[in-house]
This record gives sequence, structure tokens and C-alpha cells, in this order.
Amino acid sequence: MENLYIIIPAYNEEANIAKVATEWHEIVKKLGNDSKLVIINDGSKDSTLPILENLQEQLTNLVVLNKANGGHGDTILYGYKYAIDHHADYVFQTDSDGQTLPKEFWGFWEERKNYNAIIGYRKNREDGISRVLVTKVLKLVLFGIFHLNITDANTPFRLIERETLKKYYAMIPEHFNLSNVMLTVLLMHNKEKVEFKEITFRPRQGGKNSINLKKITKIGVQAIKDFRTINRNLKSGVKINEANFEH
Amino acid sequence: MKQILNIKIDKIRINGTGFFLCAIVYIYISIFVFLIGWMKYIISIPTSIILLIAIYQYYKKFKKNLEDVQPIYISMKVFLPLCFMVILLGWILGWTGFANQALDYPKHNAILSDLTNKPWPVYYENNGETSMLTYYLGQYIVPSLIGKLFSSVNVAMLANGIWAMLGLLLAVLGIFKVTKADNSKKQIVALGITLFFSTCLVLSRVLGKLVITNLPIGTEHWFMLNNTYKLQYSSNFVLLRWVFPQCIVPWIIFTIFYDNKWDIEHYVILGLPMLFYASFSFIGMLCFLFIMVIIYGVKTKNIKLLLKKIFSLSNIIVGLTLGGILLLYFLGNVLTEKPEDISLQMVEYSGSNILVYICFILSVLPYTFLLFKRNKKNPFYWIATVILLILPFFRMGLYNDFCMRVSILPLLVYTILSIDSILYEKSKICKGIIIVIFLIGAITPIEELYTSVTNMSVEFLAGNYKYSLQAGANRSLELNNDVKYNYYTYDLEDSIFYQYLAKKRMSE
Repeated sequence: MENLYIIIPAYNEEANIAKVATEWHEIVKKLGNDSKLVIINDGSKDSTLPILENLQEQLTNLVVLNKANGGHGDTILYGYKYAIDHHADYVFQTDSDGQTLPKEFWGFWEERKNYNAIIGYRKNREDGISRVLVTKVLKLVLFGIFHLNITDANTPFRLIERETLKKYYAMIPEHFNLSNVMLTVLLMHNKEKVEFKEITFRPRQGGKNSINLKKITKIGVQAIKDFRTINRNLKSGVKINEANFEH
Repeated sequence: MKQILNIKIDKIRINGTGFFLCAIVYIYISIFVFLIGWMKYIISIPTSIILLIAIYQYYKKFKKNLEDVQPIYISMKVFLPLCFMVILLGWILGWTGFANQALDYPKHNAILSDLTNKPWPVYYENNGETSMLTYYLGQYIVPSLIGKLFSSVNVAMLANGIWAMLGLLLAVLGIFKVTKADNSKKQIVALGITLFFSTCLVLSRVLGKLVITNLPIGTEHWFMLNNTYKLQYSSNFVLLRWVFPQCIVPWIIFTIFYDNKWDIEHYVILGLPMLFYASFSFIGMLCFLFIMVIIYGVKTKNIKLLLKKIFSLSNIIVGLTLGGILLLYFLGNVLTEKPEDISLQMVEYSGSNILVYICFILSVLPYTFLLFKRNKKNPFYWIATVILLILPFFRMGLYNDFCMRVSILPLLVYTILSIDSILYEKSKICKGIIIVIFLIGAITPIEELYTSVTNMSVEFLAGNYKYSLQAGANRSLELNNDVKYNYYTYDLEDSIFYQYLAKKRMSE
């Protein structure tokens, strides 16, 4: 039977993490013991790690990884690498803030054979106007730089087939902040079979978002510079992860 | 090694694993030298092998967690001046013996000199009393080994300075890591605050002068009324000048702990070496470890899991081997009957003397209030604050070293949190107030710096080289109790360490 690795990065999520882990664990449990829920503690300052270690005793398919704080994108890449190294057939990534619905996963899973990747599309974001704005700006930036019309490049709800992920993971620069955006761009640029599927995106279920608008702007400005470098390299055939990026 | 410290032309890349490996080697090398140099080989060799395996396992776990995760880059524009500054500090603070030393140094020099000149373990015969050197030898043992190789105390002194400089460099890098000082500007700010951080002793002095009669203030970094009330929370600079062997390694260890606070399985292997360098700092560390264990238990509500972590293989093995050895070594001194004036006592603040406590604590409270907003959920903030508030109720040692040295780690927490606030606080008003408070606090370390640079004569040094603890090694002598009771194990026949573990005197 095909196995699934669900990758969830977590930073200062003590308010949400138990509920999120329990809900997503039910998914992997249904798929058998070879499937794992991998939650990566990204150097949280709060009690996220103790809570996860405690849950690990009850949730048999939960794998808890602990790493020094490196940011959301970096942590996702860390999780992807773990899944690839552990021979996951499919990798699913979501976030630890409880904004996505586990029940919507099954629609993705049923269609997995038809696509290389299925990515969630947040038609109605319920987490504030500023976030909607960020998504729209990102869409414009990606169109401007890569000439790609990507519905929602950064959705934390995506199912990817192992070999596809392995191929493009290797191309993403180390510690890249917007690793999911980069992955989507690479999939689209290389005309992989990608489906965008509408999902519900609720407000954060508890705790505080560690990324504020100032941070988003800073990341965004840096990302634009990186995207331009990446685009040049894509056109010229240089391996993008060998290019120089400032972080 | 190249992968760990990938040296490029313009900047140095330091990842978590590289820092950890350098730090753990630095911390443990003294312990291995002590084990092999002082103990019977039948004990020291197996113990060393066990410790090496435990360290390797710890390193492996660290590597798994931290490999390739967001390294810190230090520009050569920062790194080279940092190295220069560390060397300059080592020189002007007298670490190498090339400049005037603080008044505490006869002790440092005597220990270093005895460790260099005498066979190990160091035994003293004085007027019929036989004793063994029993002190926190962590800082001195590697430099003295180098001195032994060259049969020169001068070389040992130089090595001592260089060894301390390396340690300070590691401690500063550790502080860069925990404060995420990942660019030149942040690193310069973090370095400046680390060097000149102090509680606001000036405020205490001013208030003390107004409300307390006969308070001798203004000349020292002490807050002292009489023999009972000797209080001191030393600035980082004062620590580096007076008690560098007791602060550098605790700083290094704590910066690792700060980012790995829930790694209870490795508390012993990380924390225990501090005992070999600084016993009172170790007591401070124990407070942090103990409270973090309790918080872990409360958060998980899983006693079985907590016990599994506390009694991990690493904790048990390192605790039984290294812990047992260090305990037996120090018990020789600790169990000696000591006069009341250097034993642990409670300090009562009755009547108007409560003003002494209030004035002293005023030096801490500005930071406590200012750091509250950003850190109200940070356990380190609360543990540090509680320790700083209750420490004045205890005294131990002729100069109440207990208060000053246990406070080393809580004050490091305040240093780290102050850097964090100054670098990342969004409110400019809040940030501005913290900077002002920092500048007020910095008056004390700047005074100390002024004393250091205006008094660079080495004349004091000549006497120090002749200094040895030999002269104080007899309880019947009319000497300062600090000298008689803090450096020796007497009654060797009652000491388990001497009887079963230590190499014997040459005469036996």
C-alpha cells in the first residue's frame, strides 16, 4: 500500500498543536502504519515541544522532529527532506495553526494518481484582508517575473508525489524562506501535471501568528530579488540552488 | 572541520553543530585532563571512555537536529575586531599576566602555579598537616598542563590567558546564536551589551545614600552596609576582570541550554561540567534545570515520560561517573567543619535594614519591569527574576561570593533578553527606555574598565608568581578563613576520593 508523510512545521503553537496533531494523525492512521505524521518543532520558545513529545506516546504514527529555529520555509524543506529520505510515496504539507480542514484531504488523496501535485486554492481566505492582499500581490509578482499565472502559490495544503518532490526539492535553494512558492513555480514552469483544488481556509484557531506584515514585507522584498535571480537562472539553465542567494 | 567552520574570505559561517562541537570540546577537555592527571588509571581510563561515548551520542543527536539549519554568518569586518577585542581584554584584565591584575588574582596565580610546579594530584605538607588541593580547577588545568610541558609558570600564565580568550570568544558566539544576531549591526549591538551589561547599581547608590545612614558607597561595585550586608550583582565586565574562571564556561554552557531547554535527557552531560568550573554558578544552573523539569511535567502531565527523560541513559551514566567523581572530590572540602562566617547563612532584613534590600533590588527592578512585556511567557525571565529577588536573603563566604556568583546566569538571561529587546522591540519608546537603563547600568563596568586601563602596571605580578597555596595549608595557622578552608581537603584518610580514586603522594 502507498504510504503518506504529512509534514507540519510548528513554531510557538502550544495553543493549537495538540488538536492539530490529533486530527491529522487520524488521516495517517487510516492509511496504515507506514504512513507518518511528521511535525517539526522549529525551535519554539514555548511548550510546543513538550506537548508534542507527550502526544508521541499516544499517537503511534506521529514523528516529532526538533530543530533550531530557521523559519517556516526552511522547516518545510527540512520536513520534505525527511520524507524523501524515509521513502514516502506521497508527501502532504500543511500548517500547524489549524486553518485547514483535515477532512478535505481525502478529495486530494483520491485524485493523487492523476497529477504530480495537487495544491489547495484559498478562494475565500477567512484570515484577514491583509493576508488576502499578500496572496494577490504574490500572484502579480510571480506573473511579472515568471510570466506564470498561479492561482495560489503558497497554500499550505498540498499533496505531491515522491519523485516529483525529490526532483524539485533538489533545486530549491537551502534555507529558502518561500520554499512552497518556489516549489509551485518550479512545478508550473516545468509544466508538471498540477491541479489547484479549492479548500476552506479558516482563521487561525489559537495562539498568535508569528509573521506580521512588517516581516512579510521584508520577506517579500528579499523574495523578489531571489525570484529574479532564479528566473534568470531558469532561462540560462544554471542550477538555481547553486546560485548565490542572500539570506 | 571545513564543513563545520567553513572559512571564506569575507565571512565565517558558524552552524549550530560547529558551535556545539567547539563548545563541548572546550568544556570537556579540562575534565579529561583532570581525570587522567589526578586519578588512578584503572578508574580514569574507563570513565573517560564512557564519557567520550556519551559525548559522541550527544553530538550525534545535536547534529541530527541542527545540521545545516540557519547558520550565523560573521563578517570578517566583525570577526577580526572581535578577536582583537578579546585579546585586548585578556591583556588589560591581566589574564595573561602582562598587565595589572585584580586583587583576586593571587588566588588564580597560586592555583596555576601549584598546578604547574607540583606533581598531580597537588598535595601540601605544612607543619604536620597534609592536604590536597580541592578547588574548581576547570579553568586552570589545561593551561597548567601546558606550563608543565615547558616547566614554566610564565607559559602557564600565557596559556591561561589564551585559554580564557578562546572561551570568551565561544561565549560571545553563543550569545550571537541565541539572540539571532545574524548581521554585522546586530552583532556589534549584542557584543556591546554583553560587555557592558550591568544592573543599575548607580540607582541603588543614589537611593542608598539618601535613605541609609553610614552606607559606604561610590568606590566599589559592592552594595555593602556592614559585615552582614554584602551584596553584589556583578556586571559582566566585572566578572571578566575578577572571576573569569567562574563565568566564561557557565556562559558557554548556558547559551547551549537556552536553545535546548527541553532536552532533559542531556541535562547532566551539559550542566554537570559547570561544577568543575564554578560551584556557585552551578547552583544557579541547577535552579534553571529544576524549574524547566517541573514546567515540562506540568505541560505534559505525563510523569512516566518525564521520568523517562530524567533517568535517560545519558543522565544516569554521566551522573554516576563524572557526577560521582566530582562529588567525592569536592566533598573532601565541603564536609570540612568550617567557621560560621564562611558557611551558608540566611540574612535577615529586620527593621530599617529592609532598606538595604530595597535599595539593592532597585538595581535589578528597572530591567525586570522593562523586560516583562516581551517575556511574560518566557520561563527563563521568571526563573532569573525570582533568583535575583531572593538571593540577597542568603550569604556564604567571607565576601558573600554566593550572592554574586549564583547571580551570574540569571544576569546572563537579563543580558540576552536586553539584547533581544534592543534588537527586536517594535515600540521605539520601550526600546529607548531600555537603552537608557542599559547606559545607566553601564556606568559600573565603565568605572571598572577605567580602573583597568589606568592601572596597567605589572609590579603586583612579581609577588603573585611566588604565591602558592602551600603557606595556607594548615588549619592551626592564624590565617584568613577564606584561605584556610576553601582550597584544601584535610583529613585525607577520611576522604573516599583520596583513599580510592586519586593517585597517591609520591612518598607512599
